[in-house]
Amino acid sequence: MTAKEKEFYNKAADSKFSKKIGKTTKVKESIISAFFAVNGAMALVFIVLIFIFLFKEGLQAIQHIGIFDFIYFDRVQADGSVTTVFEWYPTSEEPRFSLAPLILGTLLTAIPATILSTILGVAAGIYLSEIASPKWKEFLKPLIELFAGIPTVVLGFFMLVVAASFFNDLLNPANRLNAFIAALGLSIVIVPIIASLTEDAIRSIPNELRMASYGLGATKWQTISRVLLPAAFSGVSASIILGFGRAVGETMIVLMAAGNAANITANIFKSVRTMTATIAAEMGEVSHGSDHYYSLFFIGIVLFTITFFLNLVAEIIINKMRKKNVF
Amino acid sequence: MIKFTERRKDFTGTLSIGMIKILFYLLLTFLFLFLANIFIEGIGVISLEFIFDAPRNNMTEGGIGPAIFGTIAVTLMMILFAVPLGVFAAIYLNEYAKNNFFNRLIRTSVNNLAGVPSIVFGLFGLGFFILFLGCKIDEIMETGLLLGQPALLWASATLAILVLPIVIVSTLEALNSVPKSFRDASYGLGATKWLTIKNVVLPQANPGILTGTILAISRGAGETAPILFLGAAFFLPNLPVADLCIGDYCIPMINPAEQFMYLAYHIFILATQSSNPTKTLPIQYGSTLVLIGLTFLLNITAILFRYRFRKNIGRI
Amino acid sequence: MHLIKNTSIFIVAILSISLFFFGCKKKSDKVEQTVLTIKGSDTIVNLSQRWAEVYMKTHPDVSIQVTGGGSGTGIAALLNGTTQLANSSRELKSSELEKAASLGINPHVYEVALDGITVIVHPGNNVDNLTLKQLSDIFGGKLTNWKQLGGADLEITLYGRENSSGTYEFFKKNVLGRDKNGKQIDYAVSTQVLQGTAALGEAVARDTKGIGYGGVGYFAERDDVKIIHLRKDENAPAISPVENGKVNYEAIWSGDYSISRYLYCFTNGEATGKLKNFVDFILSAEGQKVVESMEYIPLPVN
Repeated sequence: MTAKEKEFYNKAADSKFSKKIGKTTKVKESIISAFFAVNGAMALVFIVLIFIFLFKEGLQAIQHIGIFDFIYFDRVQADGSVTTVFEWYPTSEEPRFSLAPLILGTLLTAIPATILSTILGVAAGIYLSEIASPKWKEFLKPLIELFAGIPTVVLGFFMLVVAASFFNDLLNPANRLNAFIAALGLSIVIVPIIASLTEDAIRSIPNELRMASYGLGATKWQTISRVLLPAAFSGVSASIILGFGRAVGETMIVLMAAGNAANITANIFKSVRTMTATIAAEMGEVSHGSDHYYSLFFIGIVLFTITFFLNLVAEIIINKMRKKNVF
Repeated sequence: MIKFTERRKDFTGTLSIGMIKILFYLLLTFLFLFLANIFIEGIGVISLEFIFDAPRNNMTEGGIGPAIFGTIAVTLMMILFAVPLGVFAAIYLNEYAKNNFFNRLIRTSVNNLAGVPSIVFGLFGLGFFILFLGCKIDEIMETGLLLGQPALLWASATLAILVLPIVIVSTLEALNSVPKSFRDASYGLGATKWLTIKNVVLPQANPGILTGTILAISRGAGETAPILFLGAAFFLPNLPVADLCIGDYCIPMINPAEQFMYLAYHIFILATQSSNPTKTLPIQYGSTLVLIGLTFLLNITAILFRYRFRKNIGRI
Repeated sequence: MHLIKNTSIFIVAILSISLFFFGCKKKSDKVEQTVLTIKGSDTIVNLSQRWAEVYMKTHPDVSIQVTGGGSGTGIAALLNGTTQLANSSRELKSSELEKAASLGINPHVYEVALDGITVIVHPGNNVDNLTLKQLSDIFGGKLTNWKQLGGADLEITLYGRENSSGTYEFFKKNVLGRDKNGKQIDYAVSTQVLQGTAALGEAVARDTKGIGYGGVGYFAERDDVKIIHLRKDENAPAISPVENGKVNYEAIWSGDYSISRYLYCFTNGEATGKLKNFVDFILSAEGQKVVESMEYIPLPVN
């Protein structure tokens, strides 16, 4: 229902019969609508609660540790000189809390995964919306959705047990469990997201555009590449942003397949440690109230903030796209 | 001249479309290989004992019964929390909400909730449910350390928040699909808003709500990160049940204050921390097959429901 | 619509019945059960589970829950009050003792077994023995290539445990040691973190460049890893914790094999009641037989 229709029905439901509806029924109705309003607001309440409780524990980290320690640490070396190190080592006698290796680890897994998934996902979206025959499409679209539902622990398991050995023999990487394997696993999670959003975006382009393009003599590929894809650009970019957000927030695959060494490296074949894996791996072993405990919540804040903004941007783009497509 | 250029352009076009087809089928092939590998390696282990027995001998023998039980228990409780909340929230958004700032904020929150990383939910569950609510409840009820620690109840609650967007979105779609004429007719007969919703809209939207529930179960059963420190345990000798005794009759009921074994967590632990990875490998595959079989079964059911339900929309 | 309603009722019925079906299996033992929770070291977790299994067979009135997570996890749980017994493969740190004192907890220490830390490499690696100093340099990141130790020209891949592990802490303290200024040497940042010694064994078995460490119980019978002989210093003899596939008790009891340690159980105050019975069982001859069967070293009899 559009907003106008809703207003109309609200008015109709309220006004015409309000004189004939008894007082008790009116009171009952307003209690019921208040009840629904409370339920409706719960989603908002939960987001706010997550904010509050993450920040409640995590900001204490800044009190105890200090914001700059989350970036670098000046370490006195054996020979007395001082070097600036970027290391995550909270359990050392000189605890180091730099988030740099963790953020780099997240990026080193999420960015390649997003690139790979964009290629595969947009291709799949184009295929589903333009190239596949309608009968195939009925079968393939649910199939892609089915694959979106694979539990991530299963993917992590597969990467750890099968893919790691396979690629170890094939590519001889520096470390057997590395960012590349994790990125592959992440792609499987993200491709369905990008594929179905791309397919939705392309499908919602009004047919007049297609007809106009064919009418001017363009071939199918020209129509797709020069007319449809640019028109669907906002939908596709929103899907990429959402996919990237998902890759950043994914825990199990990177925990099992990325090797978990807090390296600072740009070599995709080395082990890395992501923010999510750090929280997952270390939370069980901290005693409540220690510096380490607060620092893990701080990582949670950073993670939540990043994905929050990515989701917000994607939603703004999708809303704009929806408004534009009302021709 | 025209023929020449057409053929040349066509060549690039056919090549590109061919590339897209190849990429797509490559993707499908990989996915099928992945499933086939799990199926082949895992099917040999599946038996009635595997499904119902407890693990023995440091997980190298026996089955995954308690893990399946724990998964069912947690997801049932999660559904109890998530479905009413989600359906009512969707009713509010679709039937009652006007288009003002507050309600747009709520819709944004629902979308945002869907994008929160699962480990952040785990942190939230720890920080809010266990350390705040649980400890407060323990203080008020003076039970000592009962609810202020990892427990089934908090795991279900956290997972419920995680799957809430799924329920809301499915229900919204279902409510939206009920034709206006239905509501018209109901108002025309003098029904109030709530009566209309209860007797006319909701029954029509049932399939959609069911779809949402099934998808939520599937998602909840597959999540591992949130429950890592909310109560999932590697090995428990007993199921999380307590007997509710009335006189001589005792009914075993799920004890929400206990820890539980969880299928997804079990796979994670077996794969990364088991005592003898070579011996437990078949069990790892078996558990994975069970989990993915369960997920697929649920998802296929939901998709079929939704398909039939969308087909029925055309008719009045 | 009826079909869908009926199907949903059917599904809910199946689920509820299946719950009772699982639950009903418990009805046979109506004995009042005490629940003992044990948490902590992954090194000990299998041993602990075995103790629990054997003990529960003869004591059906006790139900023992054993979980791993690392010595640090167990100790943290003991301090948080969420476990009664903490397994640990290391002593309590001073920070943990302080925290315990501040919470009014008096941890009681029980030595329950011994363990030899074994250093493993891939069988294809031709390096046979190493000194403690070399180990410290390797895991500290100073030596990075096998050729510096007489092996092939390959970069060393370090495998270690997660930092809640007692094995991790023990190795850090006793092998990495302190540098010239007395500061604790840390593991190199490139060390891959593996949760659990078994996973570590798997990783080294598949990596020709790898080196790792863990409790001897996990490696004594494996033939896909090679156990390094240890020399205290340049002139000392090279001793292996394992002889002919069996653990070398004498070397460990006498201290000839330099990196061995006690395994501990911590309780809040001295154990009483059913917990005390269990601890007594662990320390008894029967309990120590279990230790032997799990390839750990029993307490010396004296």
